[in-house]
Amino acid sequence: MPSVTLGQVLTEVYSRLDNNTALYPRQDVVDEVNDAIQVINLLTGAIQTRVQMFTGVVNRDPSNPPLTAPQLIYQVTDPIIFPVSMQYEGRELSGMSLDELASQYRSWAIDVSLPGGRPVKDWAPIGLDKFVIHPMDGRGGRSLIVTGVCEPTELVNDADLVPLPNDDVSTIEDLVGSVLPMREGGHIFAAAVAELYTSFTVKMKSKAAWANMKWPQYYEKLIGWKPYTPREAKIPNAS
Amino acid sequence: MLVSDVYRRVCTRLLEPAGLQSGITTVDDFLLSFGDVFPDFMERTGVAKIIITGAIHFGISAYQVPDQISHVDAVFVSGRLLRRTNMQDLDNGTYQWRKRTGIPSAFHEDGLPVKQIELYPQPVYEGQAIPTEGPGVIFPPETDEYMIVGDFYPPWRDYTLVGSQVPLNPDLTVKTSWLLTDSIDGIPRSAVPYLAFGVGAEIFSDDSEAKDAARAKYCETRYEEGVAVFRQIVAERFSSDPDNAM
Repeated sequence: MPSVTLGQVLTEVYSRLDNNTALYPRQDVVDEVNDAIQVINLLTGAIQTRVQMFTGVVNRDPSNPPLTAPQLIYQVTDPIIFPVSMQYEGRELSGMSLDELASQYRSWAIDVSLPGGRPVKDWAPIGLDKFVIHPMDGRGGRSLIVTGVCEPTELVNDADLVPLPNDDVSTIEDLVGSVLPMREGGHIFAAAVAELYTSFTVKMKSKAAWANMKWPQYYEKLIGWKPYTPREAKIPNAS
Repeated sequence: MLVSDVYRRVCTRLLEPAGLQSGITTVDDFLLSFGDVFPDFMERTGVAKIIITGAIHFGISAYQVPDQISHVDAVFVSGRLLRRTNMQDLDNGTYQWRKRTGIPSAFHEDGLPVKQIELYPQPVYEGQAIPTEGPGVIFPPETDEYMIVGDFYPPWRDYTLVGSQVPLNPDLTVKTSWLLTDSIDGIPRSAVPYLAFGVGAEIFSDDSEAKDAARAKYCETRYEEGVAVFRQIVAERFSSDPDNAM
């Protein structure tokens, strides 16, 4: 349960920035905190919500305008970024990719669920915010509850609660602490990035929901920072 | 969500919170960089997919991919998924494959001019003509034919492309120039911080007074992180093939 407030995060961030409110005005720091929450939410999928939608009928043949048919393609509504699961009339649908769905059911694009027939049982995403259900709901107006990762609410006041688990708060501070010194540049920025961005990536690699994500190579050579490895210790000294 | 949301972030990082006024980097520079970064982000992540249907013509197997699609993920005919193949498999697997006719069951992209697909076997029927007006109807100059956006239209027996969308205008034409007041469509709000890093990487690596290798590399790293996470979200949910994930 989140219990850390924006004010507490700001205090911690400012302590890393030598309490320099002239170079780092409060609003800039708050904006970076909100950005960091968005980034961590994308990586961990921590903030989720449910939205109720309804199955529908649409015109699927523009050459015959009065003709309506069950709706195949749906678009998730704000604030959901992408759906992770869904229920049709209280029943959990099975998720699969569109190519799996289309390979498994040759007539997936015209299959319709009717009373007494095959029930709606699958869904497949198309990109981030579109999805199809299979078979299409022939009746329309049925409940479709979509659960998905959603956009976090922006924090404004000091008393606003950070919408992430408490152990992610230090990760927010790491990320904000690495971005803000960009305006100072030079050694201060390099040191902040070497310490804090590295700390952020190490924490996120173990927590990210996306196990196979390829993290970008970082720039050890450019800033002269390199993690110590046992292999280096074995290299004999040239002198 | 507007282009100005990205602009505001870039300005504060350039220590010009009131807007780019020093002349080192101008608003035009920003908009040019944004015009490079945003399509690159959409193409590489594949977050926004577009579904476009075009008419099949008797005896014609090769079709041009409209500019609205940057990368074809899948091709359907009558709503049925076509197997992705390549010329080597076709050459080795099917004797005189170009002479085969029937309802297409596969497609390939290699060995063809850029952004073309070829259906196999060659269709020997005429699909339904695409309406010339109505919601979702487009006329891409490169295809020289009407196409329709938004559904698979199975009864028409035409081909449907599903692919990564490029930035589009409200009339579904390709968007090539930007203003600060333009809205950013097709991506979630959470992608805006990463777009700002992408623009920052371009500005800090530009050959100008703003050049700064350390800042540029950090921004580039963060932008690549954004590409990686969105690409992974699209790929890892259900797809078995991340390179052609839907």
